Amino acid sequence: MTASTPPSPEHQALIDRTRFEKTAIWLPQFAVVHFNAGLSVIENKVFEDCLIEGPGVILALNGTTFEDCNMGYAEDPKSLLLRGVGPKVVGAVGFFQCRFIQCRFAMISFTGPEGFIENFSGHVRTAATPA
Amino acid sequence: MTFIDPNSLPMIGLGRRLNLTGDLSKRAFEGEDMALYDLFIHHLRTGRSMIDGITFTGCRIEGPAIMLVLPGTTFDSTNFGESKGDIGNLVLRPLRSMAIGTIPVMNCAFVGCEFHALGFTGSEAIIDQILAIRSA
Repeated sequence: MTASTPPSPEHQALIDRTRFEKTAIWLPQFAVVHFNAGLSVIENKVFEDCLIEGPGVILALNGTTFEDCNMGYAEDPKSLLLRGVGPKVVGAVGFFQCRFIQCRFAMISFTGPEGFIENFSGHVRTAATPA
Repeated sequence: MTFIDPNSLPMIGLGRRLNLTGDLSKRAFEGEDMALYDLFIHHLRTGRSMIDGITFTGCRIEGPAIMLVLPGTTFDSTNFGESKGDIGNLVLRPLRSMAIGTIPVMNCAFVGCEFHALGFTGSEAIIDQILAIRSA
């Protein structure tokens, strides 16, 4: 999709920014800003100590990592996962080559390639009860 | 906030201009457009945990979002949106009984609507029905 109008300076700054620290991010709005600029996925960004809020589903594409993150409130980490039926996923927000470091996710679930789903329990931690 | 910049979309698939609703509290929308996540947040802020009992007629509903289709929700003459060549791309299965991050929609009727950037999940029966669109 190609936007016919350029992003506002505020939105362009958000698109160009590659590092976010101690920031609350509302995923739908964050995604829409990128989509409207013609970017179908969010790539090459680092999020550290951020709160990522949904509702939404994150599509973890190649190179996206979650380091010491709190993925959400679920006793079973698999409750935070969805598996796409087809080879692509419509409606999720794709992240490519992004790092999430010590971030917290609320009202978010995750999907991705089969390897991501299989390893999800192993490389993330969840909180069974709210802090 | 809406997915498509209205300036880049002079006409929508419904044959008219984008017409963003000005009132998300309505129980029946007709010829009005909205982002599903905006509608859901509006409901959350008014103490409701799901979108329940609303009729949409001739509306464009946008994501990015995954709709959790719950009992009583019906789709009539509705365009589910660009599937990128496989209707399965619009469908996700939860690995457990929960579907965190999705937007629950119960007892709603979509008549003559079009969806954009929405995925869908629900019970196996619901998933089968959506996948059956493949052969429609």
